[in-house]
Amino acid sequence: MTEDTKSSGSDDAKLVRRALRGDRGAFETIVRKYQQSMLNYVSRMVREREMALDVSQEVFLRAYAALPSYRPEYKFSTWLFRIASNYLIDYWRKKKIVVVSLDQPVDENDDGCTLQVADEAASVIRDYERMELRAKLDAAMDRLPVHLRELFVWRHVNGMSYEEMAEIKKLPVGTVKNRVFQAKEMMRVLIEESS
Amino acid sequence: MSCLTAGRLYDYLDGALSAPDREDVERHLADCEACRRALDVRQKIAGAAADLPDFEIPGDFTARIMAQVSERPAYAPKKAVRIFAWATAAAATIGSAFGVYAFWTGQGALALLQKWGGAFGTYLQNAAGVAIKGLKLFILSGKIIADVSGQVLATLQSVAAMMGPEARVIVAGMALIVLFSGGMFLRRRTAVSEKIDEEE
Repeated sequence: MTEDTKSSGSDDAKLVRRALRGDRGAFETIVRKYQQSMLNYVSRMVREREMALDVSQEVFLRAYAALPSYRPEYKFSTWLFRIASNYLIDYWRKKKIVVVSLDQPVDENDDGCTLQVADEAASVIRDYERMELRAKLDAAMDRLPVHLRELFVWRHVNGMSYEEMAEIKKLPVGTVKNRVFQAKEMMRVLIEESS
Repeated sequence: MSCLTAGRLYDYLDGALSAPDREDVERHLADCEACRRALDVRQKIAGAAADLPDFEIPGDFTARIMAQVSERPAYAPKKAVRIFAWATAAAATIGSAFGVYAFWTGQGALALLQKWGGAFGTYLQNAAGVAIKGLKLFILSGKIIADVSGQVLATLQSVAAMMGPEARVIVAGMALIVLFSGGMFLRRRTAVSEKIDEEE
């Protein structure tokens, strides 16, 4: 853990303590600090702008209601994103979207290599401008199963470490790494297929 | 060296390889066009994902959340903070009342303070006399309690001397149970009052 992370963690713990003493301004500081990363994540998961705003708002309200259960020995961001992740699982269940549990055993043949396609497509990708690649990336993300999309977004959009993701999902780091690998390879295949 | 696996390429991009492994990968990449292309594709996708624009947050997003938060009951400040807040409010009220009184009667604040201070001194003297009497009473009642409990203990000792060892164990066990139940009852009462305090 870096010094910055440590100080940010203790700042968060102080803000939570103040919010629990009735200082709503402290909670507002928390919202301002995490709203961008939360919306970057949620918007890539639900795709509709208004829905992303509603979901994020509900996540922060749930976090406020659950503040007494937050334990300062854990990172606040991890705790907050766990609330968001659980909320989204409920959301997808209501929308009847199949959610695959991340801790279910991995198919032995499913090591990601089966997802590989010929690398000649690489030359095609090289020709795309950044914006075109972004559009393809967005489209590919839509097609990624939600349980893999979540990890891909956390890793590449939110810049989380494998350890942070493992803590949020309460899974071994190895399992998370394996799933992130699957997500990345599936994204690559989907992008190359669309080229 | 055979071509690099996808896993190896990602580890290389993540900076998760040891220095010797990293050098091995770099040596292979220098000689292998296919692996360089495979790395390039993955690097571009990861780069594009990291470069995705931030979600544009509406200006009133935080305010909307805080409006909903303010509709919910605020978490209560801790008891010490509440007492401090009440004490400050009381001091401010008394101070203001004093100021208004001084203004209304046209008396100087210092003269008023001296006048009230003299009266207060007399009250203080009387109060101290009462407090000393109370203290004496308290010490006396302490002596009485000590005498009574000494006699009760002596009676218990003589009763215990008449009992056999098994009876003593049974009586001691029952006494412990009564004490423990009493303690648990008090603890529950305290917990309930704390909870009510928190809810308030």
